[in-house]
Amino acid sequence: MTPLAPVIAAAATALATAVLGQPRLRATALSLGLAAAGLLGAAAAHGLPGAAAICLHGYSVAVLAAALLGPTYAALDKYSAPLAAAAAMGGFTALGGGGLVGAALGLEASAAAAAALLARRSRGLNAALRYYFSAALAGPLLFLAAGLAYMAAGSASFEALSGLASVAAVGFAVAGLGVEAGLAPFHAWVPLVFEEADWAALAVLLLLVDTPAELLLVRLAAATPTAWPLLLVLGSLGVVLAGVAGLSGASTGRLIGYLAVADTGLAAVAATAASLSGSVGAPVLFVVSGRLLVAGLAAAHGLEAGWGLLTAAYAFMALGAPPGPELPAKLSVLRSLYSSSPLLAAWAAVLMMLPAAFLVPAALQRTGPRSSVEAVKLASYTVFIVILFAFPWIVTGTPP
Amino acid sequence: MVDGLLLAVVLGVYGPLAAGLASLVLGSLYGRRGSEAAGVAAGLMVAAAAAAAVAAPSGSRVAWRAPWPLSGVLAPVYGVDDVSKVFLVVLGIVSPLVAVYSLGYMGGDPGYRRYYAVLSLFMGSMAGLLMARSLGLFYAYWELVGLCSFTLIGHNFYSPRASRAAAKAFLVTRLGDLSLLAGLVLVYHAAGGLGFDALRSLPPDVGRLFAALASVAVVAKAAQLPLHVWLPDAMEGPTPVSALLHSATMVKAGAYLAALLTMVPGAGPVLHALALLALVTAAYASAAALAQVDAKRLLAYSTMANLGLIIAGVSAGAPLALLHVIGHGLTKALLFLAVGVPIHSLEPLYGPEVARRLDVLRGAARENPVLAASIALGSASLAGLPPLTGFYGKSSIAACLHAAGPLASVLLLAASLGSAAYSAKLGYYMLSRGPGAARPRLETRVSMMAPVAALTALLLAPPQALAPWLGGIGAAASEALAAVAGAGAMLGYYSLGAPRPPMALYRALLEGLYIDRFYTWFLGPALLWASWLGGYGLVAVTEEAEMLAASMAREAGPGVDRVHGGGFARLYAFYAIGLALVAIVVLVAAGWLSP
Repeated sequence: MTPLAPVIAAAATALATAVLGQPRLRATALSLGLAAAGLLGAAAAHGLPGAAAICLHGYSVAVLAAALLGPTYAALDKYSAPLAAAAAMGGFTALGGGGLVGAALGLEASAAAAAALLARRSRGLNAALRYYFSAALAGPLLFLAAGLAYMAAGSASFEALSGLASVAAVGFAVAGLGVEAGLAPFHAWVPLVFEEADWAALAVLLLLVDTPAELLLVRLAAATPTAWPLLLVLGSLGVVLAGVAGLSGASTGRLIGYLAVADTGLAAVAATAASLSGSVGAPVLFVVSGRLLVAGLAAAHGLEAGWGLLTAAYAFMALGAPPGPELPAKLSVLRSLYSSSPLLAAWAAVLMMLPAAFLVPAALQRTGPRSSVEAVKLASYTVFIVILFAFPWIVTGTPP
Repeated sequence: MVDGLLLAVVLGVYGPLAAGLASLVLGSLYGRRGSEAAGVAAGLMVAAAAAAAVAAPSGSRVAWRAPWPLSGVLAPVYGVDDVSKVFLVVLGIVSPLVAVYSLGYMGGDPGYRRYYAVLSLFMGSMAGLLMARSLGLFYAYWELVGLCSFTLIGHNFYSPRASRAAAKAFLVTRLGDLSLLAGLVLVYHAAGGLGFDALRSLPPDVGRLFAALASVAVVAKAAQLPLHVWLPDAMEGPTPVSALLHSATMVKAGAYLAALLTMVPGAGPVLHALALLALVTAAYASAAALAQVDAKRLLAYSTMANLGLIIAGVSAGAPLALLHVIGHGLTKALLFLAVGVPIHSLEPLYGPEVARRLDVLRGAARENPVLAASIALGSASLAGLPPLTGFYGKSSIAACLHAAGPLASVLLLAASLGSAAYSAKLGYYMLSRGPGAARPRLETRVSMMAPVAALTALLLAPPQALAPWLGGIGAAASEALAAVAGAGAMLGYYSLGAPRPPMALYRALLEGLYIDRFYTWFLGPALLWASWLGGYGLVAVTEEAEMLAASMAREAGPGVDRVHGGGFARLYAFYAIGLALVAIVVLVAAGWLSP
């Protein structure tokens, strides 16, 4: 199966949902289309080599999760469904493309779709502009990295970054992917966007746009043994900055934004395991489970219109409480880091605890009796989360 | 492969230090619950570290390069051996239980941030002291343990008695600290380094001098004659602190140093003198404990006595004496925590001094079956009655000391009889049905009773495991007989209506043969002035640190949050800084910017 198959499926979904006028039909088409794209992506992953296969498989799982959320937000307005499908198309392009150029093109398309999604509400215009003027940097930085890598090694693939001559290319590539993923200090757009965007746009942003950027970081780390110090510094900075800013008692939107920044920082720290050992299973599991849970938290908060029981449950699962896949993901990352450097594992363990400092008190203080009727719409998504907790290998496609 | 020792160091030393800082920050942000969570986390980390250290092979080491000033004599070199494992077992068990107990005991205390911060630091410093494998690092943790003890004893520093007790502990142990520091200089001069290996390679005459200097530190830290005067007064600190200080930390650091001295060439004569001094202390403290009317002071003198036995055993070359570190540690932690339950209930009514009096506490343990069981078993274990933990420890010491000569046997017998007698006295007062004071029902919180119940169960647990450590049937029988005789005599004394002893003797024992007065007489004005200055200064420093952390926590969060705003210019400023940071890290990592 060619990696083009999920791209085509997502593109067809975008077209179909754009022409369908009836909300229920539109929602069903989006859901089925994303599910088909996810399954095709998982099948296509088997034809790719090593790290690329696991990353594409992980993204396919995220798209499947987005398919479960689809019926809920596709019904909101006529733009949401085609834009979400377009974002998925960009994500599959970025991960299936095989090199830095494909990554740049795919992420550019995803970002454009996400920005349009943010801008469809007048209140989100400021957030959309802020996001787009940031994400627009990712493309040039990645193209710059691709050019440098090509000059140094005659190829713009991730593997071409491993030589010493590509040192600058690694820096530009990390910066480019960091802007898209919200890796500190390229995360400045995150708090405002999360404060002003609606939950549906955030879910698409987190699941379909941020996830491929983070997975590409993991893939870059796996191909570049020298990238780990950079990932460690930027990742740690992100977790600490988000941890301190989260203590400010900001609005819930900003708080979720800081959680997303911390999670991206932790993903970068997890990616150091890939850089040190070349194995990407644990970081990919961490990236996907983290994005799924933060997206679930944003969706639950949106549907419950505040801190209801489901929102609090997602907050705790995002920190690593069962039955969320974050727990096996964190343990797997720590185990992987420990085999390379026990000190690094200890530092990562400390960093993993930091987000609890602001999220636990917020969950305890703000959670109250709320109507959770709307949150029932998250039932299938939540069941999927619990299944991933029980069988985390589904994310990487490699049964134990 | 998992490196258990590294895990132990990270969790046991650095974890609690981080938890201490977190206690200040979280306490400022989220109030009491934040500090409590950090304190309990520190206790759990120490427990996990102890488990990892015990599982690590004896003699294993871990070291890493550190930048100045943490290189050289303070180089981070850690390791474990059979001796440090014994002390770590007690620390690992008692630390989390004390942290949980504090949730209830310190529930209404306004200084909770400072308390949990210093408590975490105290646990981490002791773990560091036990795992340090260079004398420089050992001394740094030794000082930290002393500083934490001072701060915790003086926790209620607005009380003149607590403030004075804290300063007294700090200054008296300082004599020992200075002596140890002189010993370190000597070792560095003779061996050119401060690793533990350097100790083993000292020439015998230098080793003897070092052992003599370090013995002063042992005597001061473990509250042995004549530098014991700080320990009874240290009871002014909160009861959970007393439990930790007497069972697993401060005084045990002295016993650990005594065990380290056995590997120093030429230390034999010094160790013999130390063993004799420790035995005299044991007999003296047992007699003084008999006359005490304050439950915590009675337990304090009993700590001196038991530490005397441990140090005497270790100094006389009986490694099995270390068994009593576990036996005494668990027993003493249990008794302090159990006695603390009624004291905590009565303090608001009578004040701290009266609430600790045995006649006020009379019959208090009868109100709760768990409390009654804990006092009964704890007193029996402290007395050395079989088959409880305390019995095994004392028997192993007795086996060695009986072989050391008649003087040692006589002093040991006196200590054993006295120990059984004062234990019986404590048990009698806490459990007997007497008139007592008219008092309300005791408040028994789950957070306080659960650690008491856990320690009570532990007293019964280990006989089979420890049986091979017994020093022989003769020693075991003599200790059991001494315990039965001492306890029986004391209970008989009370059954006869407790006839009054001669007042002169009673007052002499009550005041510890007036040794404390001797100190005050000679050193009084200077000591008081230094106490005030040192106490005021150090309390002011800890208060200032607390305020600094609190204000940073309150200001930093909103400050960093505010930075994440502004227009597009700020957005791109962020990214420019990011690119500069990426460039620096990439170039440094590639070796292009290496110094």
